[in-house]
Amino acid sequence: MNELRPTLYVLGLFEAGLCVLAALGQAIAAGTPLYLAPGLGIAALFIVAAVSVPAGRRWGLVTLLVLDGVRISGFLLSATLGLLPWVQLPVTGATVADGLILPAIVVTLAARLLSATPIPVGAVRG
Amino acid sequence: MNTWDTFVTGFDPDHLPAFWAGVLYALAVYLIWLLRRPAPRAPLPDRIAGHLLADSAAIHLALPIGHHDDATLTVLFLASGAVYGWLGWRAITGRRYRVASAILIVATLAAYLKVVGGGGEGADQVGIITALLELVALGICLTPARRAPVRQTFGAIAFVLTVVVSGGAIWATSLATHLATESEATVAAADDHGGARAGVAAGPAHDHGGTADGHQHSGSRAQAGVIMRPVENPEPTAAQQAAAVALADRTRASLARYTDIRSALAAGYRPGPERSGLRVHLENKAFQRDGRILDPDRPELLMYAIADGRATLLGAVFQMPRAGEPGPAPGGPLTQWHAHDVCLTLLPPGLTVVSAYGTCPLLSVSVTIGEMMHVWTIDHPGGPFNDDAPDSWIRAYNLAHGIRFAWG
Repeated sequence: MNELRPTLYVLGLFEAGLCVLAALGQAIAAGTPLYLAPGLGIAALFIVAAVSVPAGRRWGLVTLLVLDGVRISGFLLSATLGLLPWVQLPVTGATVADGLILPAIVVTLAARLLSATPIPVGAVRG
Repeated sequence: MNTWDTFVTGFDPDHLPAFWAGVLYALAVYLIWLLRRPAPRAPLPDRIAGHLLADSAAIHLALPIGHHDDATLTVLFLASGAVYGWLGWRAITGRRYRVASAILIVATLAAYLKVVGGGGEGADQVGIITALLELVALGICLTPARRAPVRQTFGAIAFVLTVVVSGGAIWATSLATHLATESEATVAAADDHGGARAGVAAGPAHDHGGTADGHQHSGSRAQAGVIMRPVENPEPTAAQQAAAVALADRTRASLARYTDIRSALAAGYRPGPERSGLRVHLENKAFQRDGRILDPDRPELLMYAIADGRATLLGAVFQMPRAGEPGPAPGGPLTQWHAHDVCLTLLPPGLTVVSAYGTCPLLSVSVTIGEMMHVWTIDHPGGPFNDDAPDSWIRAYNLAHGIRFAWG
């Protein structure tokens, strides 16, 4: 099970890079660097969570699980909105790979590791 | 284009053999694992990296099938495929592979960006997906197998930077190629000294249809922000040229009544959140709902330059009422429709375009809006159907011809 941790670490860093890229696009589209802040914040969250995974931290796994859960929800919400006549879901090969397959893999790996990671004794007592 | 068409259009037909080679390799690995469950000879991350490298090998080896390049490029594809395959095999069987693989991946990405940036070919979904596979393999290569905090930190920084730089470069080159094609069309048509009519006669506003060798050089298959419907035949017939001129003339005559922006406001056109700028879109809700398509008397949107205390009617933007429904193209390749794929973001609220890697910011949804076509009613040197013009040109035109206007 420990072999999954380096893989999840790399995927978390990869998603951080994708977040930075999306944030850059948002800042350029909005014409103000202020729009960089939320994207960079989320990228930092991905990095911190990813780095904590090889160290065996549960909160890192939970963070990745939540972040990628939100990403999958965004994809599903986009697909639902795409049923409306005025808009449709823009699907490209890269969208499927990055927007659905990648977060699904991260959620699966994080959930498997979480189920195998014992809850710290202090946390149970607290 | 509907969702499926959008998906398929992203793939350059020349790259399809390579795409299927990559898919077949992945399926073969899965089937072998299901049937035989071979005993692992390397740790899981190395096996994953190995299979990603081998998948990239399959893609590179199959590229010459559809590409029909010269002998040098064919040999380079085959050689890089062979090296990818060899390194993949080493990774899967537990031998050293990381340093050589990292160098090969960075070199391959740099070569790809050079080709895309140099206009050799447009970034398509096969190229982008291959880059994604190679990036994940690179991430594993840069992660030390044993505990080494300093190396791990530098590796992590290098990896994230590579993802951002490569994605940003693909994105920038796709958009730059799109804009350069616009500018080339503008300059070429201006050189003809014929104005709008020359622009129609000169041919398509931009070359999204590809070239004689079947390659699409405009970068539109990256589908990052702009989705262009492919053109079957880039050369318009005489009848299509006549129809395009007629549409442009009718639109110009009909919209003369909106030269003063106040007339458009009185007719029910309203701006969106953007009330000033060089391409302010005013929409008419009634015309958007009237079911009439490509009607020069009732365009769904008008585009104005509103800057420097002046406003100039630039032209009409026709929009299809339903997303995914193709608009009529009486002028064939001259009257090409396009759509935008956008991300609607929640935090902060706003609008942005989908990145080259197909991603939106975290708290957002991505949608494609209905197809649009621009018809410029001013004398656009590139012809009336260009989907944009350089900022400097619009600003100068507005300063010279704009009517004094300020929002009350």
